[in-house]
Amino acid sequence: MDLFSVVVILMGLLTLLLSVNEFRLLVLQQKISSQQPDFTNVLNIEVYLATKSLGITTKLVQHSTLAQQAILLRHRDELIERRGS
Amino acid sequence: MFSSFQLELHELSKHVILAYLFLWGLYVVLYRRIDSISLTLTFALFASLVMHTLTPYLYSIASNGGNTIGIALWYLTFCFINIILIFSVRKAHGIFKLKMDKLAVAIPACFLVATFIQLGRLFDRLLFNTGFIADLYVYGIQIVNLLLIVVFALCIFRGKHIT
Repeated sequence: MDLFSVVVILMGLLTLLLSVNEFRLLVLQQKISSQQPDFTNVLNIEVYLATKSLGITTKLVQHSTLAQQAILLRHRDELIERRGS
Repeated sequence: MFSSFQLELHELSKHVILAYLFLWGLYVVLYRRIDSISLTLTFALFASLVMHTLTPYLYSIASNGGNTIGIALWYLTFCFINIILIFSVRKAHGIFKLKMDKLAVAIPACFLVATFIQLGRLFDRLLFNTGFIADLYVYGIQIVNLLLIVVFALCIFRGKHIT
């Protein structure tokens, strides 16, 4: 066996570790997301874009936070504007 | 060189991508929303399309003299695409704060199994070169592809219960 084959085997082992670790993190996230209340089943793209435009990161948008209230108020204002026109 | 069953499996793989595309399209048209399953199906379809497109190029490199670089490139490229898929699914769910459905985990699980098969064959070719792993590789990848079609189809039924 030449040196390059050894390098490839090491790369293969690294790939194996990487893939198992990534899948472990994925399963962990599945468990976390099923328990956390601020995770949603269906993405509301309007709210997501609103948070983006307001410069609020999704980490801050949680239940009963000021960030979420600001987004809801903005949505209410937009709805009233649309109804008014 | 190939048995008739192996040739049939090869012919089948051409239609697998079309099946993925059809089932993904069906899910998108039926539910019209961004949820855990639609996101995972999109990533899985994209990864499968990339692998399908790269296959002839990688095969021409790998079959050229059967050198170690070609062999490594063939197996490791598919493995890295699978890892990128698992990473993307996890990251996208985190960014959009989406609850991860159990079926959405089943799709990356299938890709993980494919990675094990690819790596198993890579180690076998470099260390032992037994015929047993070669057969397992040919049939294993095709079985994973067919299993993915079943999971894609199950996702359509599961979509009804996501609100």
